Amino acid sequence: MSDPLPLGGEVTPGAARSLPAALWRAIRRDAWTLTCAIIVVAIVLLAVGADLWVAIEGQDLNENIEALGPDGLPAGPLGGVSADHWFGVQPLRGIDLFALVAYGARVSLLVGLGATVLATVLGVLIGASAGYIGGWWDRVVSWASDVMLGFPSLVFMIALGAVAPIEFPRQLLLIVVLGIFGWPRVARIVRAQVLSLSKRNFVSASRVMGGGTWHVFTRQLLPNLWAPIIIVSSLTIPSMIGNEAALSFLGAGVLPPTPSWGRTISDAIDYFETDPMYLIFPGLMLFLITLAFNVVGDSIRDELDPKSKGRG
Amino acid sequence: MSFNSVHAVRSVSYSVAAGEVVAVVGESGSGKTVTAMSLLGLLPTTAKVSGRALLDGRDLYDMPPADLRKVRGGAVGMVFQEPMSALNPVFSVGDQLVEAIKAHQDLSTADARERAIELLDLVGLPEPARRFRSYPHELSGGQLQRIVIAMAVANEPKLLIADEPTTALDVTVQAEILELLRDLRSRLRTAILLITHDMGVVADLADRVVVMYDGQVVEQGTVTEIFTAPREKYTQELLGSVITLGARATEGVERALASELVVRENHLAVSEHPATSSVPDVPAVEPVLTVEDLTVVYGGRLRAISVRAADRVSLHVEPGEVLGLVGESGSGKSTVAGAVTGLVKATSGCVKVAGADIARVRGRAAKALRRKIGVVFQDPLSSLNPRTPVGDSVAEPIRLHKALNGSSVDKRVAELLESVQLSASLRNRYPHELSGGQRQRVCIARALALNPDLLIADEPTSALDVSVQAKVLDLFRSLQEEYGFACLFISHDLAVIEQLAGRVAVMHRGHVVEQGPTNGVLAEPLHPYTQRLLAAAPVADPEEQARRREVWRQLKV
Repeated sequence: MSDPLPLGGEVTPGAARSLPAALWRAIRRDAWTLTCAIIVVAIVLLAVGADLWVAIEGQDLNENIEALGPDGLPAGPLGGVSADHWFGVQPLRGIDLFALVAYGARVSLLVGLGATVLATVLGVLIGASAGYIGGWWDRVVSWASDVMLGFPSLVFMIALGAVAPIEFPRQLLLIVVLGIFGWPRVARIVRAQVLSLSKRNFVSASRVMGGGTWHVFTRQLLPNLWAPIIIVSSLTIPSMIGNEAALSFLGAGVLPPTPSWGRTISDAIDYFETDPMYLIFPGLMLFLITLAFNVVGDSIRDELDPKSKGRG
Repeated sequence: MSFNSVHAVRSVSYSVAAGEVVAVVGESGSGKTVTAMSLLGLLPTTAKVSGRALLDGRDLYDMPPADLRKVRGGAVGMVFQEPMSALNPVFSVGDQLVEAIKAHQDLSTADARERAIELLDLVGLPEPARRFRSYPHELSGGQLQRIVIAMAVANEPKLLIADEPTTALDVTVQAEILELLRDLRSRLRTAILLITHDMGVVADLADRVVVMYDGQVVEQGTVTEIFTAPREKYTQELLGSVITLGARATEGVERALASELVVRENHLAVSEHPATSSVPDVPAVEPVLTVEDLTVVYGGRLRAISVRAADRVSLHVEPGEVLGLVGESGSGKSTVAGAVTGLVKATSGCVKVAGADIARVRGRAAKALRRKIGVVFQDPLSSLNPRTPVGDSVAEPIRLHKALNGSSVDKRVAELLESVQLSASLRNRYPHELSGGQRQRVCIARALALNPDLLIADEPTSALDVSVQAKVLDLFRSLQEEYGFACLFISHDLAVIEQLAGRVAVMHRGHVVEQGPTNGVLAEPLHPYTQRLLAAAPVADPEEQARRREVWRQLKV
């Protein structure tokens, strides 16, 4: 004598159980997500195989005056775009722009992903423990994250960039500094989520059954935290990439001659009126990667939520 | 009327005459609220409404927005279910009342203020001039609902729509609000459209009844017709599933008024009202659960006011026995439940389960103790993890205590789901895919997974619809007979307790004011609070309810 089910017909598929499954379903369900996933993959491939692609193009990161016209601007239309130089060349020095963008992608993604992983791991551990344990630890964490969020981090990072010893690997420095300034955002969201989840009865039920802190955290809280963690980290990746670009733009990021999108954009500003393509290629890449990570992250969140019916 | 091509309501017609109370009854999703909301144009913009709604001959559905605004709060007043959210927390109640008056009447602020104080007096608030300056959080739920009613009647409406006006309130407060509505109806000759799912409220107040099911009117008639000779099968089922107190409760209170009570063995009550201490526990034989002098004090650090949520409460439950713990909101019954499950820390006193002090045991003994306790919470949706299929939720205690492993876990889960009358194929569903009743069955299955000696049920049926509630209670009773677990059953509803419990403890403001066998407490209520509680709970029988109302009025004096 069971109640009739409100659902008719066959059993509807529940939510995705794992992150790869969620990603796969998001891609299959929506063409826009697919496009953005392809963009992410393409840019990652571009960064990983930069040596190969540049070799195929037949160029390198060296100066090449022959590609320039008599006025120092790239020879040919659209900033010198041709079969030899896919994205054109840099004005005055004639470095191949595709090579700059490809090697720059490597730096941007490495720093962006590294800093995001660091910020997310720190943020989840600190935020969840603060929300779940409460008491003095919660007060310390809340106070510390308020201080970190209110801290003029950009000024600090520029200053740190100026005083850091030249031998210290710049990319590692950026990852650590951006990661340390990034955790409070994650921690706040995770803490709030844990606080509201802890009041729900299923957490009480699990504790009454004799579940310990670790059991309750991994079995009851974490499955409900995945969605906010994924959405906040998918939004953190592009902002970290942007931060790295901003620091490099300001001259406090990676040092020359290491190429970086931020540094390339910074240089290109000077030539915007005479050679706009120089700005457009690295700028477009920065825009595309930011957009694509956001869209994919959003779709994964939808798929992980058993209540969402998917978009469209 | 339809939402996104879902027909919420189809060809519904009813009428309300001046000075008449028409009750629209039905379960959640039956379309009773949608119909009433459509009258004032308060439906979401995606809703399409067809038909006519005539108020004094003018069609409300055809009315231009400007005219409809005049009708809202003017000719038609509205009382909502949740008084706290119906009032704006940042304005004083007086200002909100003045605003409601000035929206429809051309009065000076001073006159409107005078009229507002008059209205507060009309709805029976003591010291209306002082209450005028109060903010919503300073008043109780019953007082707030009086203010909402005052706002609704501020402009002498022809029709008052009351959407579940007493659902969020305690029984004793509910009785007072119903009395107020009855009084307003006779004094102002206002027609009242009462929307409710509580047949007791209908029996108490209504002249005529409209029964709705699945967006259609199933049956309508006078209150006596519907209650004594319901024609439709659905109405009969609805009335059949209502759980109300038997006539002996009314007789008990009548005897109490005539001071003819006979006190039996094991039945104790405190002498003063309001109580300042709890009754001692009746003698125990071999208790599964003993609560001794339990005191829980909240707050009180620094200069904060401390609240004694439970004060020297002593109870016990014998094996296989169901002890009902009754009380209204704020009585401390949930605090006792929290202390018994270990979720709330006792300030003093102790809770022993099978002889072991729940606050003292550590390590393996603590885990073994947990195996003996099952808990069912009030809201089944919040007590199931939304990201876990229900089968895994049921299996959680089994896995946690490593009671079984491998495929025997799955077998046990299937067995448990079947024992709560759910198909085992539901195990892969998520909680939101199930109905309220199904979810609560899952929670019961989880609580019983390890064959506990003691089950704590904290208002397990109060979040469910009437007909579902009856089924879940039946299930509960048969499971209790089958497995023979001891149970601490907490409820605000004496009728539910009457059905299930062998013994009852009544709590009021942190004290157990009366304790004894269910028969004794219901038939011979000793404490004035128990008597009030018994008299205030409405029964689904208009004649019986009239008698109870009389008793209730006498108690009030």
